[in-house]
Amino acid sequence: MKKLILYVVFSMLLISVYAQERTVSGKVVSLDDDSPMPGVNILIKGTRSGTVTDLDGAYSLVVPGDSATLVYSLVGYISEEIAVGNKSEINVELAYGLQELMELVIVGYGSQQRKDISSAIASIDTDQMQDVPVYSFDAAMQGLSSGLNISSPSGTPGAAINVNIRGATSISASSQPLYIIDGIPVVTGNNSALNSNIQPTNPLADMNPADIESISVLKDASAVAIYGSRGANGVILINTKRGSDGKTKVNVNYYSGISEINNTPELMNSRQWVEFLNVAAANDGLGENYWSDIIGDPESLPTYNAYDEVFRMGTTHNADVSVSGGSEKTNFYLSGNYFNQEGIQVGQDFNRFSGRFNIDHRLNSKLTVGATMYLGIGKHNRTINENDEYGVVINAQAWDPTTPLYDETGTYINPFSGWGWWALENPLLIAKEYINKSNSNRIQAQAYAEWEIIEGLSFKSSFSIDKNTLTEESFTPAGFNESDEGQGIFATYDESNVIHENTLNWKHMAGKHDLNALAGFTWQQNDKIFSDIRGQGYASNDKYKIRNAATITSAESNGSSYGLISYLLRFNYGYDNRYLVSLTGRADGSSRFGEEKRFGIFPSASVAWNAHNESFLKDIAWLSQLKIRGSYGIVGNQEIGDETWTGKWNLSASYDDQGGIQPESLANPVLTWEQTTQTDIGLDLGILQNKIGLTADYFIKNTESLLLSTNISGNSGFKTLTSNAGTIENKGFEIALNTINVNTDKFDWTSSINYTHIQNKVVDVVNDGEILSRNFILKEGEPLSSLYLIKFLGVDPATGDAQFQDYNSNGLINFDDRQIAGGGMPTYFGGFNNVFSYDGFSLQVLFYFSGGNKIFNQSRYAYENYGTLKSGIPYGNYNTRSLNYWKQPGDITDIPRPSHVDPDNSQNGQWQRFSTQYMEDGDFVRLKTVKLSYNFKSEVLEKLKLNSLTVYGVGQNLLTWTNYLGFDPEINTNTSSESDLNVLQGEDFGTLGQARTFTLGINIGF
Amino acid sequence: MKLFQNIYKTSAALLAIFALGACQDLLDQESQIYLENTNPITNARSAQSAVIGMYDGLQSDDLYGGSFFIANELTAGNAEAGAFQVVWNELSTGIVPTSNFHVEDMWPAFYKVVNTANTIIQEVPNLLDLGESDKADILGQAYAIRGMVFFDLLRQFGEYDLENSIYGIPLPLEPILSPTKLARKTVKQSYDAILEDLGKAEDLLSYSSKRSIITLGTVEALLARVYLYRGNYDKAFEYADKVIGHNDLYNLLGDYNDIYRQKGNEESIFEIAFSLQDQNYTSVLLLTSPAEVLASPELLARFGRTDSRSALFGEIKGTMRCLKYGSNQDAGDANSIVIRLAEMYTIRAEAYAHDGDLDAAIDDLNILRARAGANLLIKDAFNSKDKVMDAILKEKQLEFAFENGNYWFDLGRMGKLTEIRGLPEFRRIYPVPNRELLADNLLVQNPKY
Repeated sequence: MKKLILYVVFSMLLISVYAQERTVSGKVVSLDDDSPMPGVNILIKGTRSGTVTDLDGAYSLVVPGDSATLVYSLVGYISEEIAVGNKSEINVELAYGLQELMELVIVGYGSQQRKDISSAIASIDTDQMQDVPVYSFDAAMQGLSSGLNISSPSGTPGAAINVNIRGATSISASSQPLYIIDGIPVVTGNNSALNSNIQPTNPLADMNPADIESISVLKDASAVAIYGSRGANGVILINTKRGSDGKTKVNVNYYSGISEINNTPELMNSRQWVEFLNVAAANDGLGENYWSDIIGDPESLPTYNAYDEVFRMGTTHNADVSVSGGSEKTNFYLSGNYFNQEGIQVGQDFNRFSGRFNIDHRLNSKLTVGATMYLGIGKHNRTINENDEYGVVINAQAWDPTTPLYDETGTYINPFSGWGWWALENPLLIAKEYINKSNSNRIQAQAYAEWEIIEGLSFKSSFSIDKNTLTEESFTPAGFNESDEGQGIFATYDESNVIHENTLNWKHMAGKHDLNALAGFTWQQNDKIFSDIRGQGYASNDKYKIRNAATITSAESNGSSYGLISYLLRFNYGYDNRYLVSLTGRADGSSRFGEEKRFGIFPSASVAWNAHNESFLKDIAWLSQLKIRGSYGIVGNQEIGDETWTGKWNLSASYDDQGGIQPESLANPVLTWEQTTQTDIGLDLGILQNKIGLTADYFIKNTESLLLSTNISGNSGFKTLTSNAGTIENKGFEIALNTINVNTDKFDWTSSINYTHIQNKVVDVVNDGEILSRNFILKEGEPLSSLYLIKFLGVDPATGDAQFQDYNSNGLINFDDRQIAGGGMPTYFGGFNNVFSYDGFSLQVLFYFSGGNKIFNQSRYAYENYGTLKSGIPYGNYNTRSLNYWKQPGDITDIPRPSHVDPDNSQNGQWQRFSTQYMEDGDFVRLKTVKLSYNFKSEVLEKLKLNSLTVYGVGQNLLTWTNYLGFDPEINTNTSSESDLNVLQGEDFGTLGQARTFTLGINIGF
Repeated sequence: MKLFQNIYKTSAALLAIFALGACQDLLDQESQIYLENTNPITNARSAQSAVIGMYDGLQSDDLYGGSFFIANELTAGNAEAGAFQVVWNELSTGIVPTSNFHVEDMWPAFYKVVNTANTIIQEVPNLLDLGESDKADILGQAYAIRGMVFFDLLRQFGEYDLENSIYGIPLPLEPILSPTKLARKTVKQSYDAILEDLGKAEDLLSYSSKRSIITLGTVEALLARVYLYRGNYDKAFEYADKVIGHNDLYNLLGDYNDIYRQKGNEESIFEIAFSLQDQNYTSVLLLTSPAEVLASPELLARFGRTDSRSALFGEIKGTMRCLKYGSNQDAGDANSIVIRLAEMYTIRAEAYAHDGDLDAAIDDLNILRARAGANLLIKDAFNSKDKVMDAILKEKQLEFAFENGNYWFDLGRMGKLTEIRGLPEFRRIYPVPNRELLADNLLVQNPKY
């Protein structure tokens, strides 16, 4: 190893010493008719420096030395790469055609040319993600691929992103895709042990987005079957950057920016609030000016807006440095990243340091070895928000506007000393003084060897590690409302995957026959160890380490593990570039499956017909591509928990200081993977030399044997048994249209639009009609995350009373009157991306849209009601919308007459119920990203002795068009588990909306 | 290069061997923290641990960790919901939906304790390393707890006040290892099973001054309670009087407040022990800000001016709280008292009243009132059985408020639900959770729900 490093360093030195700058010139002509081609971009590979051909197709360019490679590209033509060598004149012919067709697409355990692919795989253009100021690559993929639904449930930096490929396929298990980075399946679940009412951490935020070279989204069964029991939710394959031969390139990138909250629902000022309360009191017979007499004259009361205190201008800084290069034998890529995002809400921030070293070395013509090493450190500071009465946002909204948040001395004011019943705690205090720190470490390492046994037959073996650890601390300060003594948590989580993979790959071409076969054996061991120590009784709120707690109230260490053994096979056959067949199968054995169901086999097949290569279509000039694809296969989801199937007694049943045992769960020895059968029919169409490219797919995904907490009779001591007992269906279509709209010497304009429609349906579940977390129901014939609410019938114009449907006709309005009110999952989504380039300037404009879903705006339920609780003081501040209340007979409005009467005690109460009153449409269109960049031209670069220089500005979430009344239609409250993301989507309670961000950046290549 | 290829081949072979070797363990991962449920009790140690496990089950948040008796205090009107959680707001109205979260959770929580008891009852007689007296002690506790839990289930979900009703409860007597459907037994069958279990426990257990576990004294006190509910006043009297007679074990404390300040005091017959490491959920319900459960104004208005029992209610952060479980929301180490000597006086009083001995009944009540510093009841004013029964009901409300939910059952038992709480009679028992009916088609819902 030491030798290897020396060798690398030495070769780097050699390269820089011997690099000699000189000029290369030549001419670019069209392959079709030899006509000169103006406007062709010529780039020195791996840099951003280059030039453009003139009207005669001629060019001249200074290259760093013989080892440079030039890339000739023009929209609509297939790019050429030519090594400079000792040549001083290079003439090039470019062929018409969609670059995409020749593009190498990473697929499971290998890569394939786009034209040879018979399954549904999307490649994400990572250029479009570059320099977008988001903390994690998964967020940056939003809107860039069809079938890929991505939402950021909150504006919390470093928080988890919800990603579904072709719909949610599960109820209790995860519906998040499998992520494979450089062949390593990575830990993506939230392992945080802190308060579950915080946005979960995103383990993918440990990764540096700038390291990513390419991303493939595997969507249909044929593409994912090679991942067998983990493929049901689709797979996202990521390769990181590796070095290439040539001069060592150094790239420095820096951007910095500011952000602010996108939108805030407007709250009443003190005058509006007290006057509104007066009306409520008067309606209840308490007389005129009831509240003015208590709180004060509304005209003279000051207003304190808690938003102003808890929201702030956030900042983002990102710095990337990468060094890459290589010689004939050894290539390397080194990178470092620092990212720091201070959230738009006080108390939230995330930062990351990372380093990567990828190396490949050819020992001889037959044998290549290499390694990948990545280390990332993430630091999360989060605050309570989601679904918690002690959330920052909800307490800011409820804050009594007549009371300041702190006095002249800076002391926090307790909400109970004001006039609001809820807020429960000073939101600024929660944001600043409640501590929730999570430090994550991510190690990814791989060593591989690849041996070309004979030509066409190669063997690859790799050992990989993915290790994710979290160290967390939280503190609830003493002497405020949530804790009398102060409470602390110290927790750790350590999850590691060790993977060994062996694959044998055979490629053979014989005449018109093109064969490619893959066989493999892999195993994986996953181990989790975690601990959690809780203490209370702190002498000071300043030092929150758990050692300072007077009493340790609980301390535990815990762990679980699973093993996976797999055999895989794939056989691809192409005949004459016309007919393609792919057969894939994987056998997975997992300790997670019940002892009677240990091994599963996951087969798939796909076929494709490149009709445009048929003689009878070859003459149609406008038709450049017509590929018809079809696939069918069965894949699984093994995210069912390590020990779910076992029947257990726990040993944590202690009593009166003695250890005890008691039942923990019933066994289900036939528990097994969830099984998804997917049928896909697809079409790839290229028109007018592929200036218009269309990809369309129709799919039906049927997931059976759903892992469900089957309702069982409680006489067993348990409410549920985890069983395979249900079916859900996702069917839909997706369309991606890529067009080259304008393509001239100076000005290019390309567009891509993608649209996906998904219909999710619960087909069959044992617990048909089970109510989930109060506002949702699992019901056959309805989608997952169906909202289940009392139906609001509007306000009676005669009386001003809120009217609700007495669904069970028993004369009472209560929870038994709930009914299905709408689906919480978007049914359509997509992106619309435009790239304009003109003379070194480039402008990218990305819109994202999503909709068809309903949101239960529970925040409104909380701050748009009119009650007092038992203590006789108002509930909290209200939205200004409430001012549009019913005032006199005949008024048509959706806001009932104000009243303090509690509907739980009186059917005449007008305030909050879990009703459709607070259910809204979730449709929105968002101007997601606008990026303007300028590449300095070679004349300038030469003077500056740089390879490339780009300056850019990016705006994110600039505009949102929606009717949703909360902070943000994209947010989702129930994210604490991956199961919640399936069945509890579409609720918003105190979740922080997304930020609008502006950044400026510079990228320098040496 | 040849050397290298050899190295490579060797290492490839080694890898393959390693890979195959690892496979054996990969698919059989041993649990790091759990026992298998097929055979959890194998020796004396595990049998004793399972006994502890039963008490842990009773500690559950859903049961004596608070929710069980607090729910009954809410439906009875002694308590009222003070914050947001729908579960408590629903209970506070006294109109309990069939999908109420607490009701849904309480049912399996009780049956989990039954299953632990059933496993003990099945396995312990076969153990070889347990002496007869240890076996008797273990089995006695298992029978007693099973009987007590069946009784709690019966009075919560069954028509416990109608001997001939078909609406008893399911009575599993063997461990359940896979989902099982069970029909309700009749009320008579339920009472018979409860009395059989308590009877066996009575034979097996002995007296002890321990109060955090079930002893013979506990069983006698529970028998007094069960017979009272069943309307067998002679037996109720017999057992209540017997427990009152155990001066060596149980005595009323001089200061009412001490009942809650001193764990395991002389008045306590059986209490569920909690500690800072094993906290009582009751404090979460009563002491957080805002507290989910507050003392109702109706309850507070019932205390006489001099009644020191009202001192256990006070204001915290603007709302009236019950302070029997302390006043520090972080310190949930107060015990939950399941049964204490004062209840024996009220049971004896009720038996006297049924027997026509009204003065003796008032005497028993006055013992408790005198201790509390409340005005003594004047016998002349309680010259009818109805008046005495009203006095007993009120005394139990004041004496045991927020303690064990007795007031709710007394309201139902004495037919006072409509008069005092304004609720129809059928609501004296809770509905069987709807989810139980969905999972078990042999079960039937209670009348009128």
